[in-house]
Amino acid sequence: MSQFNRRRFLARSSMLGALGWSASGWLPLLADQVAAQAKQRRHCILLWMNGGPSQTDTFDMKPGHKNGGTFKEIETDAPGLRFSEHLPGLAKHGKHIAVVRSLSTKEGDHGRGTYLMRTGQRLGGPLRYPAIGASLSKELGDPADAFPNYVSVAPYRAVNQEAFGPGFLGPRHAPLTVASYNRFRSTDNDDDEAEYADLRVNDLQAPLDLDASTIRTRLELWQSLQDDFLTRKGRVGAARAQNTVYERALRMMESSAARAFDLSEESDTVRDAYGRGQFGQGCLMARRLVEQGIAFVEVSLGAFGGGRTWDTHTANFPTVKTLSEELDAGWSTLMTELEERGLLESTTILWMGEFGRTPGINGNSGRDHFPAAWSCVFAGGGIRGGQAYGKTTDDGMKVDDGKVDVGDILATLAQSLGVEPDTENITEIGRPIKIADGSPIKDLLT
Amino acid sequence: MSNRTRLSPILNLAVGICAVVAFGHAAEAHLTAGERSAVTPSTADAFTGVSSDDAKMISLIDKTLSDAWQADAVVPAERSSDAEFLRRAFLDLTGRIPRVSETRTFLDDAAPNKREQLIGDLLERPGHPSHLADVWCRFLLPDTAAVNQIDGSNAFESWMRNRFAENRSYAEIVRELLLATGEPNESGPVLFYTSLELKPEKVAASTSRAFLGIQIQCAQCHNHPFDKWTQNDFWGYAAFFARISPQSTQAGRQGTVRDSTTGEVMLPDSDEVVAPRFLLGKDAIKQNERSRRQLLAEWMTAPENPYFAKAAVNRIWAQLFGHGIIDPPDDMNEANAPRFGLLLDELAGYFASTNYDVRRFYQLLTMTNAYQLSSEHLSENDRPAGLFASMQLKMLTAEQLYNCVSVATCRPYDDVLASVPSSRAKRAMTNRGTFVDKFRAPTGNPTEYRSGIPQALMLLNGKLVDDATDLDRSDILVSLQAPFFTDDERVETLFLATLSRRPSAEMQQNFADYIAACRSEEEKQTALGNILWALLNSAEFAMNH
Repeated sequence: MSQFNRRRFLARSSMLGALGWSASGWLPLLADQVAAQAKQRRHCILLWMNGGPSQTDTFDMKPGHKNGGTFKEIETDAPGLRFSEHLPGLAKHGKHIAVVRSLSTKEGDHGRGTYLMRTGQRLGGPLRYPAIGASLSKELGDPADAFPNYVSVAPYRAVNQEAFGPGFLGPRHAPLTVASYNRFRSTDNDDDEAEYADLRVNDLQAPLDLDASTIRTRLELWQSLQDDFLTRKGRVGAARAQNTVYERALRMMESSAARAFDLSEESDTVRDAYGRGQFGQGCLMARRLVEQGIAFVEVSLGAFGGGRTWDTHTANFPTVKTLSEELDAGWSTLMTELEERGLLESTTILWMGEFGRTPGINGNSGRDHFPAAWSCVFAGGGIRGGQAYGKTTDDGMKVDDGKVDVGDILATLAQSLGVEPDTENITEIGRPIKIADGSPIKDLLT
Repeated sequence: MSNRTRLSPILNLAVGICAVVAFGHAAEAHLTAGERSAVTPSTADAFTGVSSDDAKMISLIDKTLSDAWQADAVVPAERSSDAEFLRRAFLDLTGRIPRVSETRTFLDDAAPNKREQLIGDLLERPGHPSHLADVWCRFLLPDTAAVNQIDGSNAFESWMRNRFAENRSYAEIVRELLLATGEPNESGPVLFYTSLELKPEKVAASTSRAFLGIQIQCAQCHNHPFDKWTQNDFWGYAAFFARISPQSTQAGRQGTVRDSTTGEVMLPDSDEVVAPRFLLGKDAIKQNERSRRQLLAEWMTAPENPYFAKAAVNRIWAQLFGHGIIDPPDDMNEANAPRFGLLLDELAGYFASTNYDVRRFYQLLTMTNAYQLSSEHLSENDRPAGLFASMQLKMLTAEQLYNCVSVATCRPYDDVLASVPSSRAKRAMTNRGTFVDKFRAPTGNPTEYRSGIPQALMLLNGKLVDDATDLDRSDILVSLQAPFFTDDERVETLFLATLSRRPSAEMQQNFADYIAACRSEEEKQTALGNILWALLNSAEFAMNH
């Protein structure tokens, strides 16, 4: 557009806006290319359990032992694989699920454990290590996408901010965060009047009091300043990079992919099947994002500070039952819907928290922090389902067979997604750092 | 050139009021009672030019570089415009952009030596030591999860700021840091050791990188792959830090740091004790009544040390030029030989001869022609960074970006150092902290743009810029509502406030036409808000160029 035209355009744009002018011509829109590639890509969904879930009451039950607690075991559709009775939906997907029952780690503090499990490194190292979502999305995504490759739904970051960041990879690999604006959980509202969790992306929409014509005018003004600066300084280096990233952000705001965040497009039947709380709705959002080709999505369950968490030092059983029901609805519906869309085989799911819980039950009917022998769960693409890997002793106190550490878990995750765990990123001081320090568990991989 | 509108005195007054209020607030709060008396408002007259030694160094720098440009047939960029220089000097020396009144005063000043005067003025302001403290803290304290939880980063920063404010010799500052004792919260520099868990190998890696500009930590486990350092060199150096207690403190646990009489380092996976030995030194050190740290500090800061002054001048050079004479600046090694090695030696010698006068060195470099070149580029490779034939485009740090939005919109800083939370983690909970946390990049190359979509969305749609451009809450927009402004003056003021320059005639016309098309006063206000929004989101605003 010539300066003359631009000037005329600037002068007229607000008037045009008021008349309902809505053609979007100021930037080429390429957003739909994103969706077109979705099916060729690999995706990862991390189901993150705040507080540390009890393995003994979910995926590594000890029926008959005094540590076993009050829950019963049920069969899954995979012979020999059994879950808690409060996970009936997942039991129908047993053939796509592999439980690791022999995870043994060394951090029993929420902050340190969260950092360890999410980065694969102990706190106190010489670097800020990236969360696994940042490293994997960097490998799986296309940097040219008009969409961040890493989306985090309702994370509870206060337990350790650093465990949720891109570390030395830099802010470009930070997750786009979806915040939850009301905190209720599905099980609090059983009647039909209940609302759904209100999940929104921070800053995706322009401030509410701006109308469309104002936004358009602003962008036009902005574009003229950018053109002026880039022409004077040369389209080089940081100036060009800044412009490119802004254009991607603006394309995303206008793209159909951004509609993945708008859950009101789904029917109430579907939304209810996932559960109305932030975890269930987050799982639904994860499905919609994977459909748009997003590489890595994480959804958290369990809210510290008022809500229910997996940190069940007291009243373990009613809390775990409630959380299990919420987990079961969201996760099993997610697997069903991914499978229906042919996306389950390209999507790997990992379920874990910062540590497990003591097999022994304390005086408050609770279970305490326990990193020595606990479980995490893989499902979906690249995973040989229908099995439990490793074994704990009858009392659950020790790993009896197949002991693995966090590095092995993250290496397995990377490998299942087709990413070599040895892939190195170079830090600012030139030090090469592997995505995961550990060996993939071969038995778990297809 | 176009016939620029000269603003009426009353306009200067109006915008000046907002500037004075904001600046007064920041300056007051920056200072403790003791410092306040030391800082007097400096005037242009206080700056009397440079000594003949300095003048010689300045010509040496410019001659060396221009010879190289000629040899390589590189056409250097033009000299920067006054506005370009003003913004650059403010950002590099005080960490923020100039206020409207400051910009206008400088641009309208006819004095031929106004750039020199500005440099002298900025170096005397309280913002200068604050900015240096910010730069050096980011460089010295490892940006790790554990360190960010430790209390005491505010004490460290204020220690650093006071040293720079008094313009202490750089060698003295480093000695004080190396010999720090006490508790992190009470004694600023101790945090340096605490943050490295008092581990000899970590302190060795950090001090050699920071103060000697060399990376010997590769030799921790094996002889260095492409440099001369052996494993014994590394551990011999690390042995100087073996006698600090409490030993093996975990980062995050605080304790009193002091010298002890026992403690050794051993080669990894062996029982072989390595005695302290200086790098490049032949013999083991004779232990005497002085502590190992004292011995090291003396060696480190001695004029004969071939690395110490060189590393410092190269680092300051890199901060100002966006690229070191040796680059990356903290990796001097035999495979990374500089084009301007002789110049670097001269600069190091000069720095040592001034008793490591940091302020004078900043003055020296900013007065060169090279520093005052424009940042215009014709293409990606027209002027390779290492030739310094044009200024590099440098991204503002997250802290600078936040501060500059405040300055541009006439808001006071809300993060005055004296009142900030004591650890980086606690700081992340404030408004500014949330913003900074989201943009925080690993320390390193300022010429790289590291942000992504979430950060762009935060600027496009987030609270910071929304508040700054809100018609009722934005201080600058409210002050521009005054009836005596013409629309041209309003547009010009917005440019001065954000980009520190007047708009080109063409842009002025474009924006004026846009405002002229508004049909009501309210629409006009909205239009000004829109212009401010676009300016705050522009690449030009986000950069030091």
